[in-house]
Amino acid sequence: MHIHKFERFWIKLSFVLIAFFIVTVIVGFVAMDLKVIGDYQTVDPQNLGDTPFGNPGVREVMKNGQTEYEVYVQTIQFAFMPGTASPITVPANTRVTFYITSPDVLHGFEVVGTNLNSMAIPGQVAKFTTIFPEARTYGIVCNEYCGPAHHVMEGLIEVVPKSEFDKSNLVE
Amino acid sequence: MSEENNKPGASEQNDKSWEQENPDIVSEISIEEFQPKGTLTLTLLYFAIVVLMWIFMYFVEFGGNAPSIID
Repeated sequence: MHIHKFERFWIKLSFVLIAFFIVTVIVGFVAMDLKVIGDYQTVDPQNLGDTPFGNPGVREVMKNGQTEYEVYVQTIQFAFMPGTASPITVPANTRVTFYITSPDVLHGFEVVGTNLNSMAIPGQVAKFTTIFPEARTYGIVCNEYCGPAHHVMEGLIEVVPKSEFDKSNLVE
Repeated sequence: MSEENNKPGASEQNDKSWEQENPDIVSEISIEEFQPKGTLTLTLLYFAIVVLMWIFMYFVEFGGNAPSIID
């Protein structure tokens, strides 16, 4: 089959583009150290009361001699627990690990305007760690259709300066 | 069908070649001599736009959008 030389050039260029995309993704995960959420652990969605999710909220933990925070969040129809009724309050410039699961249906946990975004799957725990660089308020939205009031399912993360962080609201 | 019949002289010239129907052709060129440089320039421009938009989306909007997942 005869292919015009402009078309041959264009076909080659298309393969170069695909190679370029693959290279940028590899650079992102190797050089820029981007991370995605992997599988962490499973949990019985009917019996979250026996797990830390039974008492969801912000916990203080010591890891490698550093104070860190763990946030256990249940996503339910149609709220984040905590997050919707009361904001999730965490300090800035500190490692914060989120554990998210759902007792009912599939939900999403997206911190708006950031790269923090996870599915909340019944029976699966999503775990990710981040550091909020500044004190400000972030919105949380559910980005997986979860029922008739999905569109009003939202919450707040309040990041406060480390010195102003009130530890009286932590859960045990 | 009706559209073809509306063309002038279409019914009686069906057995003639395209060249015979168009006697004002000055010269014929081979496929390789046909070089649509303007089209190539335009597609290269689109290509450059796609590459630049990808770089912006991936490295600036995605990679630079802290806070990110660090662990």
